[in-house]
Formats: sequence, C-alpha cells, structure tokens
Amino acid sequence: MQEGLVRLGSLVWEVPIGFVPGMRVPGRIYLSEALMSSLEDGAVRQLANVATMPGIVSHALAMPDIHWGYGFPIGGVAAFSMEDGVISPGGVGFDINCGVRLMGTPLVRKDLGDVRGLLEELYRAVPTGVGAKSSLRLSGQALDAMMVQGSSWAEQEGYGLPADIRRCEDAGAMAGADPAAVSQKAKQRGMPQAGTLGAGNHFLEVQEVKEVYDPAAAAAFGVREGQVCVMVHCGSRGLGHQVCTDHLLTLERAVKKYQIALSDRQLACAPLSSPEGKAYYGAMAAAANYAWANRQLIMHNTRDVLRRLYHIPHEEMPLIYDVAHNVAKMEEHEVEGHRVRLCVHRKGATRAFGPGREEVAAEFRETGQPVIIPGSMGTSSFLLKGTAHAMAATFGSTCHGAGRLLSRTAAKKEISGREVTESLARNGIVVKAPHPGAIAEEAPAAYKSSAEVVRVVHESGISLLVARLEPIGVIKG
Amino acid sequence: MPYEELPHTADIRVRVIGATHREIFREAAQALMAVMYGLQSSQQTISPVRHEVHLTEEDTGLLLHSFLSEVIFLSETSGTVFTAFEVNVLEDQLDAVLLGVPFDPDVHGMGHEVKGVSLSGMRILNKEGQNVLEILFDI
Repeated sequence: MQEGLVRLGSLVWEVPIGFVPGMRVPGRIYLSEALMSSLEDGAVRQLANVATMPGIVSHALAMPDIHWGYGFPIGGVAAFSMEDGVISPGGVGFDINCGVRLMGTPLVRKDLGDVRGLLEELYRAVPTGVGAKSSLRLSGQALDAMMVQGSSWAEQEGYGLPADIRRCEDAGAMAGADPAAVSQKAKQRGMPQAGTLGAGNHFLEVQEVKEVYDPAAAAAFGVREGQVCVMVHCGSRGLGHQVCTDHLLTLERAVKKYQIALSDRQLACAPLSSPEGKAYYGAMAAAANYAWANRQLIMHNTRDVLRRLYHIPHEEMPLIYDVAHNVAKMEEHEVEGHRVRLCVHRKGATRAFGPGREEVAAEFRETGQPVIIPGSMGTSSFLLKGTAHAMAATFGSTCHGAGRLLSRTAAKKEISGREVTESLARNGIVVKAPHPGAIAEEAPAAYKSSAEVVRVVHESGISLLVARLEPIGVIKG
Repeated sequence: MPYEELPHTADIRVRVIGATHREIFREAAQALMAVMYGLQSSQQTISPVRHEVHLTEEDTGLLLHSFLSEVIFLSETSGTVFTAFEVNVLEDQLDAVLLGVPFDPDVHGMGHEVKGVSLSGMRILNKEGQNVLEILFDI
C-alpha cells in the first residue's frame, strides 16, 4: 500500500490534506487491492498536486485506471468553482476529446464470414497510423463549421443519420466553441486529418456482445447478446494536439500574470473568468467538436464498408453512444445541498450521468447514460450505465479504460508483435496494424486488467455493468 | 551521440547529451524524429526538403519547447521527415535549418504519433561540463 493513504472503504482511499503542501481539499482514489500494487507514487503525487489548485471543489478524484500522466494523473477528475476556479490543459490532455463510440449492427458473428477480409476493407476505408491523411478535402469554412457543430456538421454533410446526434454526449457538440481561439497552425493540422484514426492506443474494433448483465438497460441501449458491434477509439488528431501546445504556453504566462501558486508547472492554468481561460475553453470546445465529427466520419465510412459487404442499410447500424474521456465541461452538480455550476475536468475519465439528467438523451433518462469502457487490444470492453451515486460521489464520472502497466519499450522487450498476433489468433481475434511494433506495444500484458478496473467502478456504484463485449477483429492505429 | 530512452509508463522520456545548447537542441530534434518515424541512423541520407525556423522565447526551456513543437508542426503539415538540423542558439533566440525527406509510409511508418512536448517534463542539467537534457514526448 502507498504510504500516507487512508482507507475509507473497501474500494476507496483518501489522499489526506497535507500529503503535499498547499492542498485545499483531500484526494480520493477508487482502487482495489489488486490494482494498488501497480499504483505509481508519481500518480498519487499528481492527484495531490491537483488538490492544491485554486477553486477546486470537494475532492480531487482518481478512477481505478489511474496512472502517471501530464499534469493531472490519467483517470483524474476535478471540479472547479466558476467564481474562483481555474481551467487547465493539464486536466484535459493533449488529445482533447479522445473518446469512444459504439455502433450496433444486425449481424451475429457467423454472418461476418472472412474477418481478415473485413478488416482489410475497414483498414482501406479508415486512414490509420502515423502520417495517414484523409481523402476528405475540407475548406477553412467547413473546418470552422465542423469545430462549432461537431457531429451535426458531419451528419448535415451526409456522413451520418439524424438519430446519431442525440446519442452522443452533449449531442456531439459542446457549446462555446470558438474557432477564432484555434490557431492557424492547429487548423492546418486538422484539415487533412478529418476522418483519420491516428496511432498509439487508438483503434477500430469489431466486437461481439458476449454477455448481458442488465437486460433492461441493454434493451434500452439497443444491445443484445451475440450482436456484432463496432467500437471506435480516437480523438481530435493534430488539431487538438496543437490547441493544447498553443494554450499551454499562454496559460504558462497566465500563471505568472495572475500569481497562481502551483506545485507543478504541468498544472498551468488560468482563472475561468480570465481572457486566457476563456480562450482556452473556446479552443478546447472547438477541438472537442472536431473529435466528435471525426468519430462520426469514421463511423460513416465503417457503415459504408458493412453495407457493401453485408448489404445492411445504414439505418440498421445505430450509434449506441459516444463518450468523451479527455475534456473540461461546464456542468451543474449538487454540492453541500446546493446546485452549483462547475467546470469539471475529466482526464482519462468518462462522464457517467445517472437517471434523470436532462443532458442525457430522452431514451436513456430512466437508465442513466451509456458508458463505454474500451479494453486493451484483445481484451474485453464493457458497456455500463451512469448512476445517481456517481452524481453524488464523483461529479458523475467513472473510469475510461484499462490503464497502462508497462512502458512501450518494456512491452516490446517482453513480447514481439508476431507473438501477440499469433496468441490473439489462437483466441480467434484478427489484428491489423501499420507495423508489428504497434501491436507489441499495445499487447494485453502492457495494460491493467480492464475487467478489474470495471469491477471496482461497478462495486463502488459509480457506474453499473450492462454488457461485456469481446473483440473479433482489431485495427490498431 | 544517440538519445537514450528512460523508463516511463505512458509516454516516451528521452535523455540527450551535448557540449552546448546548440548540440542538445539538435540531438533533441533528432530524438523526436527517431520516436515519430522509427528512424535508424543509417536511414539519414540525402535531405532534399529544407525549412527554416526562427524563434524568440523568454528562456532556454521555452525556446526548446517551441522549437520541438515547430518541428512536429512542420513535419506533420509538410509531410517531411527531418534528418538533419543546423541549429544556432543565442540566449533567447534560435535560428535553424531543417533538412528532410518526404514521408514514405513504408520507410517511416514504424514510429509513434507524438501529440506534444511536455514543457514541465523538460530538465536541462549541467554535469561535468556537459549539458544533459531530459524530455518527455506525449504519445
């Protein structure tokens, strides 16, 4: 166990005030004993540093997939008061609105036939890997519209169905996006990349719903056992990366200007009410909307492939949901008996709003919003639902994935890409990637168990299991 | 001297050593390209594409951060893999010439997409007359 942590319950630990100097609130980590063994000192310290930031409310929170990140730990959640709080790119990450979407199909596994052939077709349709460019040619005006309207822009351009939009967090577009706060450099990077998957841990996966835990919620989400689904994991590409790079420098200067005492330079921030804070928010929202449109374009191209190969109309491949897991958003939450507006940062964490929240599409208001937790390559992914307990305990937030365990170098030393491919093939999983190194680095052994991470959030009630999905074919970025 | 990769779970942390700031800037840019495109030293051949970079920042750390961020931007938007760097650093000012080759997915597709350069993960130390730089690439 980490020295200095206080156990509050079987799956909840406190980082007490005083763990690092200047903490304004305690930290709180959701973690099992099994996951405690891989908890890094640096990640706990990062969480404690978040608790020193001005205007932080209630707790600095960490989900069970916590690991060392940039600024906030990955798996970190923090809410800031609109009056005296701050906004920080370190609480969002370089890949703004990195997120996941899950699409259903009317197919079952045996309908797929040649999975390798299917993956080759999908790989051709979705540009993947370092240096991949889109076939879509965007004008500056179209890019601006994409950054304001997000998923709706793509749908109106013919890359989707009207029903897709309400099945995205925030209907696929955050309010307050300001393309003018996005640099020309960011726009230049974003223009040729719309509809591309990217590299690293991003993926497109063909999956099968293997087990349903909550039939009522699964029915509400449109998911059934044996169903083939497609999961897409990617973000805002070079546009989002450049927004982060640009505004980090601005906010670095803002820290001096507003005399903000920080225990870590990575937490560069500005008051929410300041011009610098507002500019970052506007640019971040624009990048987030780009990411939603990006996932919409990828899903459209995926639908086209499935339509061609299996003769299914797009309308029979509904979007189940789309969630962001790197974003800062203005939300209303109950704090000490009062409903207050806060800026909630989720860095490698997923919104998990419970029943009754008006932000969630009407068809999910009774169940709570769908929460999509991707597994690492070759392992289970999960569909969960948001809960009232999450609203009370974690600002409506839960985990985002498995969380890395081994460095990429260590993973490659331990196992080769070919061995991973062969091992997955023995389990009936086909993998396609730009090069074998990309497979080795993302090997299942390099990640914590997604099942254990999800068990912790389920048992602690901050989201509840609905279904488990297993991979059939994976395209790695 | 080639860069050395240091342990880091999620991202890529590297160390480069140079006698002068100019050298560590150049070595850091080489390391960045090696990470992004999986370059081996034997792949550094004739470099027909040329870009110039001129920057002014408040301090050496910010200057290096801006330089490497510019290298990422130019590489991505011009589709160039830079293989040679002529760098001049004078206090808060940098002038550089970047030489490279067009991106070829068959040759350069083995690397990582670097999302950004960590400003605070950067440390420049002076050890026994050598500049030692540690830097974190977010991937």
